[in-house]
Amino acid sequence: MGLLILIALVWIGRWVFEQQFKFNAALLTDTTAAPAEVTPLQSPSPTASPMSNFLPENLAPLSAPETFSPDTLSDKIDGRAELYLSANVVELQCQRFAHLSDPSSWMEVSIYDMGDARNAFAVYGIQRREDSQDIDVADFAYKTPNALFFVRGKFYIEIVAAAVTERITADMETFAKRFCDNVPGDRKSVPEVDLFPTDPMVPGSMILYMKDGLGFEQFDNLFIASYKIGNEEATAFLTVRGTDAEAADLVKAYAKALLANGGVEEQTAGADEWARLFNVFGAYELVFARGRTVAGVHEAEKDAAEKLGSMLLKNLDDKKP
Amino acid sequence: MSEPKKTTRREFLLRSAKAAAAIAAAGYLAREFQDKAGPQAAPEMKSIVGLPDFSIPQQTGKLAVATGSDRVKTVRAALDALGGIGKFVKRGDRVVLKINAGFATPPMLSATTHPDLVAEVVRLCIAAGASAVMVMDNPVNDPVSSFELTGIASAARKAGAAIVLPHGNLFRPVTLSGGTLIRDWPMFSLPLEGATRLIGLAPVKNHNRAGASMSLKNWYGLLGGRRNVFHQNINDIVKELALLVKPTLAILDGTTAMMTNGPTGGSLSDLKPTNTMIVGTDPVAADAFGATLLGMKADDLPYITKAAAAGAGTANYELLNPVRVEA
Repeated sequence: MGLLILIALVWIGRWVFEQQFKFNAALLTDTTAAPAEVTPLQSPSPTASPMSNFLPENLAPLSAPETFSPDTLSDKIDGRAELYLSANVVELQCQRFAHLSDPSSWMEVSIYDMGDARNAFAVYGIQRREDSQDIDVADFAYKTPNALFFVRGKFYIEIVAAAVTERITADMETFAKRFCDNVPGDRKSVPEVDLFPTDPMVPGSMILYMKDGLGFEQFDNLFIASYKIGNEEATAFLTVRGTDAEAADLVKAYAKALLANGGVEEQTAGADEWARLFNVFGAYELVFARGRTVAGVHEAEKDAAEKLGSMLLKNLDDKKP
Repeated sequence: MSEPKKTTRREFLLRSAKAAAAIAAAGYLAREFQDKAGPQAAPEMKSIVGLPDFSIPQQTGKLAVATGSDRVKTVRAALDALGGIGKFVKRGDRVVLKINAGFATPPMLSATTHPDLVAEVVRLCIAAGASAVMVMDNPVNDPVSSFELTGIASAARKAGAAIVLPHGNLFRPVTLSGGTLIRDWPMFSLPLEGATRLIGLAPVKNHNRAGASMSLKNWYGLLGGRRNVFHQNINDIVKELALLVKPTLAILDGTTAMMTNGPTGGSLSDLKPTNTMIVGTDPVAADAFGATLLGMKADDLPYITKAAAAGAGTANYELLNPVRVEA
């Protein structure tokens, strides 16, 4: 037996010895094939594409479909890959399409398979553009002057146009609608979004932090949304835990972290019975548990914290997650 | 089911001795086989230490900031404020423009150097007497698509420049003296070895990993190989690039700044008109000024403070008494 081990080790040693002298092309050279010469933009070619089912009839592929795994995602989106990796991206498929009559009018479709709807919502929410406009192709969808972004099932989809024209905007919306007609998915996959009061929430302000929400390491799967309470801005948050006891423990842990970071617990006339209130260097934090849900208000004036906290509590009681 | 056979003390000791002998033999073999020099590049790829220094000693510490929405006018105005392109490019110079063509995206998204700026700088260099102007980058996306869809290839060619794509035979292992990351690392360096001037042309962008992508981060496009390994150490690799690359000029285009979702962006709503063109001989100072367009200070970007501390330039751009002009 010992002799066999020795022979195996010698064989491995010899292999290592030989390998170290071999030139590692992956490390020392550009791994892409030698690029072709740069030539003017070609006309789109109406070849088959995995996305063809959703494509408006006046568009055709301008480039071959590309697929990126978590290991190669940065080859497509560079430093932005970190965001998707932290949300457990599975795969990205993308392809450019152009008008048959005008190749300079093109758009690129990127379909991120995020594994599940929560992950898809996480990358959707955190990249939500200001001054964007909600659209009704999906439950979570918006557009900007040149682009369209939405969640459908486990997919997060970006459609980015190279021009701002009515025609390309209509094409993007057609693609999105056809995609949603063929791929199932609805907001029930992310039930937390309906636990927030809708009024006076700032439209499009909801974000899901998969971990380290509000800078607190135990706040994973934390949803936040911005509110306008009178003239004050405030942030509501909530996360649903496995059991009532886990929720209660999380409230205690957050309270302990606030106290450790200079917070001072204060009494409150309106919320003493169901919430804890902390003054953290002039900004107020309110936190409470309701069943399995931990909810609260972050960085608000005292009145706004109490008022928004009450609204959250009422909504949770009404919805009973 | 039969009882497992009991091991005797003698058998146990014998097996232990064999195992110890195997481990000792493996250790001896590993010691004999160890290559203390580590992996070497192939013989035909001769490694070099450092890159050529393209800075002009008489022009150090110059910085001009032009405001206006027309990047052709602002780059001209900023260069004029520094004495004109003739101070930096002479007759017969072979000029390399290191642009940012990182992504195959349209110019209106400002993820790449704007083709109008590329074209104007090419024209200025040729007018100053340059014998050749080369436009180069090693994009993140497919090189041909990137140069083409950004509009850079067409603009550069029309203005009289040659496009240099990142063919594998144009890379050479480079070591930064004193560096810890750039050691025998393949770099897109051969076009630089035949050049006499190097000008960086970069847009002002938010960057999810580095905080911002401007003049210094633009040198990342000279790296070859599996450069994404440096994302985990982004501030140090940019600092080392700042020490390695000594350009003639850094032109930082803040006409439109990408404020969010960088470095690719994707939506016009990621952008903000900041109407500023920064031209200087110190890329660290240029980036320190550029940071203000993103609502940041130089201190907010660790690679700037690291580069300044390492002696690559100054983060306090006011020390250079920047010339401010309107265009």
